[in-house]
Amino acid sequence: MIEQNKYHYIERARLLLKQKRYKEAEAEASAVLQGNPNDVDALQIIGHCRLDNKQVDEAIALFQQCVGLDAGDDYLYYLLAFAWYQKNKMDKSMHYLQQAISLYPHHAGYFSLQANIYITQKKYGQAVEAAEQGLRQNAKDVSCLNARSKALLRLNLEDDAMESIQSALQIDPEDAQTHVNYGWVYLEKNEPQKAMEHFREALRINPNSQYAKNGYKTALKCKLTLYRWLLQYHLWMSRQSKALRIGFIVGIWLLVSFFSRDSNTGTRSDMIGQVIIGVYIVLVLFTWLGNTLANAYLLVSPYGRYALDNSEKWSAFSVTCVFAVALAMCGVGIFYGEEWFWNAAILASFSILFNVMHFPVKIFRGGKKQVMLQALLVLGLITIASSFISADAATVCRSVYLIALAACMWAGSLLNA
Amino acid sequence: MNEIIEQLKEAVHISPNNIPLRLHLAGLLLKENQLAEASEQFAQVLQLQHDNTKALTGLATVYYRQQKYSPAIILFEQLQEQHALDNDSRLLFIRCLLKENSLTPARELYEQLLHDQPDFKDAEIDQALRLPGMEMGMESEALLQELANEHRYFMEKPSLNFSQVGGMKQLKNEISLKIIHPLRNPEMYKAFGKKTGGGILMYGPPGCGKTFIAKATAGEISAKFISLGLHDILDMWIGNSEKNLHEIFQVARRNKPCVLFIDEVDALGASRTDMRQSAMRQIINQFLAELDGVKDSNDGVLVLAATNAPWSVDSAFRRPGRFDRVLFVAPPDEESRREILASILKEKPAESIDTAQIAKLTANYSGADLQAVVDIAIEQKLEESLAKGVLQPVTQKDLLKAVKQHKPTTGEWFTTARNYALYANETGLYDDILRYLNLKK
Ligand SMILES: Nc1ncnc2c1ncn2[C@@H]1O[C@H](COP(=O)(O)OP(=O)(O)O)[C@@H](O)[C@H]1O
Ligand SMILES: [Mg+2]
Repeated sequence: MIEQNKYHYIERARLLLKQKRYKEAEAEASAVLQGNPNDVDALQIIGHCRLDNKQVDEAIALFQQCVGLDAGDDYLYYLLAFAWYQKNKMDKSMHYLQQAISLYPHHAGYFSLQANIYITQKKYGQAVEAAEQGLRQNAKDVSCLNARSKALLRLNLEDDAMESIQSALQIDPEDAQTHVNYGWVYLEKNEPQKAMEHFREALRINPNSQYAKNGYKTALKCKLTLYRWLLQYHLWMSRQSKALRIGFIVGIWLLVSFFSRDSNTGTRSDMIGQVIIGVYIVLVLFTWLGNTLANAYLLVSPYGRYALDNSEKWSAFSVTCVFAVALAMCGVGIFYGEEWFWNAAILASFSILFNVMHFPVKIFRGGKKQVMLQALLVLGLITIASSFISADAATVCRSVYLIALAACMWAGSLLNA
Repeated sequence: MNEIIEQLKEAVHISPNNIPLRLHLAGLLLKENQLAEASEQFAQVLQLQHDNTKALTGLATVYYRQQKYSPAIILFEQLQEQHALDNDSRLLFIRCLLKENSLTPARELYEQLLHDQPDFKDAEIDQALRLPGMEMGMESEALLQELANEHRYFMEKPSLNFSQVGGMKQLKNEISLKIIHPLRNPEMYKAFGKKTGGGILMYGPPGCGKTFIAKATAGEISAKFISLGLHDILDMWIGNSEKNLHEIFQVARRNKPCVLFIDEVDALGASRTDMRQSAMRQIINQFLAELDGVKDSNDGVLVLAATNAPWSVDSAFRRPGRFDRVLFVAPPDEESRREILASILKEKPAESIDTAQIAKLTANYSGADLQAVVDIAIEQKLEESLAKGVLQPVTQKDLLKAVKQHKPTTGEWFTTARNYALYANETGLYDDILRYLNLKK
């Protein structure tokens, strides 16, 4: 392919990429590749298309190829860093980003990505620093201002965060991401009404922004007081370091088990112990299921229904159903005996599984965690079924099921902390 | 002459490193059109001095005459980099580029050439590059007339007409009202003092017949029909855009009644973020000015536009007098699907097909999806026919099988559209989508 001719194609491909016409952009770039299969510009454009279409692995492979052909292009390293960031591999992302920055240390966008990586790693101080470095390159870089405010918020510097966001909004009042951040600041300040306004605005500007939609849903659910408490708890937890959060969970558990250590003696303190355990279990369940139950509320509210995605809808629906049926079973249990209470409890425990299960369910596929959840579900169903066959078998099944469930929950909650 | 050449050859043989001597020889060989030998001599010079301008120019000329355009272009490019491109080589360069279909660089070079030599004129290049009059040192009015006469912009009348478009009743009505009737009965419109003009904007998921119905409109009318596609718009972005846009509208006005169809019209507006840059804004403003007919009246110019991404279309396009009708082109309903299938299968070797059954099974399929289904079935049948040596007609079973293989492609569009309809519908623009998706509260 002739150079001049090539640039004609590349220019068109870039224009098409900018207009988000990925298929056409790839076609133009491919035409260049037919002449020279190692054309860096064309490969980069195709990689960019793939990246925007969430085909991150393909994008990375293409960018890698480009780097092999032209190791001096900072933007390529940035794209690689961004791709790894999307794959949630912060170390790799940082590695490439540093290369981009060392090649060209004057691009504010590079620093905003750096700040966002630090935020994901909960290194908020460094995040603020990176964002400010970016702002020294371009004081009007909205993404740096946004990253800065996010980090400041995590550092409990609400006012500074607010200021940063307001200047971002002044520079570009039509930036969806800024409005989303603004919304979260208000949620953090427990002002869901104002938060809602900004999430709405963000959605108006970019109706396909998942971040905006998540904020919008959260703000809608804040109409429920219980959910608002739960949100404040989660926000508070998310500000703590990982060690602190694990310490908190383990600490509470130790406390509870200390107070309830001799709950079998039939004394008065035994009563207190049981109450404490009861409250503890309810609270733990609430932190797990609260969100999904609030989604069930959205399911019946006129606006919320449309905001939920299918998996959330199914989770909310199945968890609610499970509770309803379990309640009915308890009712039956009053007349027909203890067996039914047990079955109701096991059924109710399914809610924990449905809460984190991905819908539509891919039977025994979809990753280790999903398969484990499904296995637990099957075990639970066997347990319920066994109660109709033999009491002894039911007892054995029950213990196996409960131990497995408890083990998985502990592992899960610590991993998620 | 040959004697001189022989003598020079000998001299070169004796002092092979004498560049001026070799160049002299090569020049003579070129003059005598002894291309192979000239090429060798120029190449020898380049071996001694790789950036020798005369040798580069000479060799490029040889290649041009040998019709080896791509190597010629490479050499011309080198000359250009060395700023050693004289007007003669520039002309050859342009010709080479045209042969290789590289219009944009050719146009740029030609403009430079005209800048240096305003009187220059080359009909062949003009024809290939369609430069607007100003730059060619020609009366622009005269040029426009010429362009108009040459039918360069006009689409050939397609054999397609409304009867081949399945479904789309409302759209057909609307187009009839706004475009076809005014063209057929202009006196009537005049008598009622009704101006004809303005535009229709169609939007909807890809493959549902927007482009198709526009072409059918062209087939329905006897007026002139200009069609602009994505690539024309892109070239406006890359080349000198506003002039082209103005030129196209001018041609339409001079040939009224005329229908101007702009496909993928959102490409004119790029994306929201880019539009803040004023350079990008220009083409939109130009388009708006043309639509409004600021300088020249648009009476009798009917504009039809289509887009898959109405959200990227600048909202200013929808003001009164511009695209005052914005119409949603939904995927075909069952009845329309039956019609579309029937029209696709009409000229195909097929055997007692129950289109109604297939229509029932293909909810959410676009017209293009149905086309794909039929194509799959036919392809498989063709293979079979070739294997057996007898023509095997397509049967109901084949189509049913193909339906299973090709899933509808409209879903992705609706995921995006639904969000816009739910969250960015202040003006009620997307009410049709809400209605279609049963989301209307
Ligand atoms: N209503 C229809 N009747 C017949 N064929 C149709 C119809 N709609 C779409 N098609 C078929 O689908 C193809 C793609 O349609 P097209 O007009 O290019 O879609 P769009 O411009 O809306 O993306 C057409 O070429 C035609 O073969
Ligand atoms: Mg089309």
